[in-house]
Amino acid sequence: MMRAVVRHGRLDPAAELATLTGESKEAGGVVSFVGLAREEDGAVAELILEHHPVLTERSLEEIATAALERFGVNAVSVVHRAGRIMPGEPIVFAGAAARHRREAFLAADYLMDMLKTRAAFWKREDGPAGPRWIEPRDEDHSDAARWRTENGRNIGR
Amino acid sequence: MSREREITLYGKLADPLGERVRVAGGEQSETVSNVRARVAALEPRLGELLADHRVRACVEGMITADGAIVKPDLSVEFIPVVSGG
Repeated sequence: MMRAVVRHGRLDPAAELATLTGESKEAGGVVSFVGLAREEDGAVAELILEHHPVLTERSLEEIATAALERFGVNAVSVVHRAGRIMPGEPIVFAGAAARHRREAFLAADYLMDMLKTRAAFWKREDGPAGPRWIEPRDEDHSDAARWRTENGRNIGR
Repeated sequence: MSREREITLYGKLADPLGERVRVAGGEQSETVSNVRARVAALEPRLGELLADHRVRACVEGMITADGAIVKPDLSVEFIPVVSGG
C-alpha cells in the first residue's frame, strides 16, 4: 500500500498513523515521523508552502514508491501540508510499515531525506524581518546523498 | 492576429510581478528558451531570476527542456529550485 497526499487543510498525525497501521495487517512494526513548523524564536510568524497542481503530488508518489520498492516494506504513507502553516503545526507525516523493524526504520529515514530535497514545494517563511524563501541546506543534500547507489550497492549505508 | 501566452511563476519567481503574467507570441510555436526570454524581458529582477539555469520550464505537467517547442496557446510554467518538504 502506498499513499502520497498533498493536504490543504489540517494534518492529524494520529489519524494518519492509525490509517497506516490499520492497512498494514502483515506488518510487525510501524515507524513514523512528524515534521513540525518551527517558530525560530519568533523569527517565523507563518510558513507558506506553495505547491504545483501536478508536479508536487507526483514527486511525493515517486518518493513513496521508491521507498516501498527499495526496502520491501508493506506500506508507505506520505501526507504533506500545503498552504499557510503556523508554528507548531504538523507539516508532514511520513510512515512505513514492515514485517521487521529495520526495514521500517530505513524506509522512514529514506522518505524524509528524499522529501527534504526532492518534494516539489516552495517554502517561504514570513516574519518580522520580512519574507524569506527557503532552499534545501547543504546538510539536506548530504543526507539525501547517503542513499545513492552504485551498481546496486548502497553508498554510505 | 497576435495572441498572448499565459505564464505561471512559482516560488520566488512570482515576487516581482505575481504568479501570472502574459507575454506576446501565443499564436505561434516557439522554443521554451524564446518564451523564457520574453518573460525575462518583462522586469529586470524577474530576468535575473530566470537566468538561473536551475529554473525549469513545465508544459502540460511535464518538465520541458529549453530547446523544446511550445505549441500555440499552450501555457508555460517556470519553477525554481524546490525547497523540499
